[in-house]
Amino acid sequence: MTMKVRYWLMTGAVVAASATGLSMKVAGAFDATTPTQAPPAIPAPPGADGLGHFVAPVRMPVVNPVVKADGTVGYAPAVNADGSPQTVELGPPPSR
Amino acid sequence: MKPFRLGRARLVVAGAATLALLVVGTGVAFAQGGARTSGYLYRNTSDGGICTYINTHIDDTYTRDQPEMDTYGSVDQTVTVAGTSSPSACYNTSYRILGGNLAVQQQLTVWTGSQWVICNTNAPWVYNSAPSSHDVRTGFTWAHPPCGQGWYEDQAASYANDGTGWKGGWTYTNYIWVEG
Repeated sequence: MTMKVRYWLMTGAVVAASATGLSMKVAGAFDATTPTQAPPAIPAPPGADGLGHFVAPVRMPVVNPVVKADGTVGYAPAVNADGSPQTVELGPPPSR
Repeated sequence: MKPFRLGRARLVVAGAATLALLVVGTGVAFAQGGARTSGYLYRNTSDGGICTYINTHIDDTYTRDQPEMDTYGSVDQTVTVAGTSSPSACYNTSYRILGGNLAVQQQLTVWTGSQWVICNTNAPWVYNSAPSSHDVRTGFTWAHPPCGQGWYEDQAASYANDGTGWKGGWTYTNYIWVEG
């Protein structure tokens, strides 16, 4: 393959890659899950070992979906009948 | 006619530019993808003991802004390979356990800015079917992120009961961003 052919092949690859990236961006292909800010360093849940496992029993707060005043969806703490915060224990299932 | 000459430097620059574009594109695609966790949550290292496995996943890649989770649980059996000095391990991956003795559950959790909380999904325990089976699955797709735009995480459990009580545990995936 001559140097000239290699040059035009390389140039074509650069142009094609650029055009593909641009068109995907314009089409919003990257917008679905790409936040406008860098991912925060969110800590692992309590009771977790940071490696994907829970090493201690965990009781987690529960929230319920709500529609906020501006029409967007958010959440609010779930409460029991007595007004106490609702929680769920991440434990074993009940036997059947 | 002057012969065409392409400097090695130009070739290198063009190649590097192409590679950079491909890497950037791939990186974005990975960032957009979901998160998965798998592995054994319990291992009985004695021959004939059980091992409880989980494979759980969250994403909204395939259905935009519609988070989906799926969880697979199975129970394997610890055996030592005959004729070897290998330690006992969860090699019997076709082991079956009586129905109702293998269960999975998954919870969608959302980051409030200070803690992880369960975005109430009323997720049920799903048990393996009778008379016996090796595994069980559950999954759900939300039409919209149920607690609004934010960082979501999948927390899921897999437990098996060999007659000596439930053995297994909970695990969690990395978090993903879901647009509202």
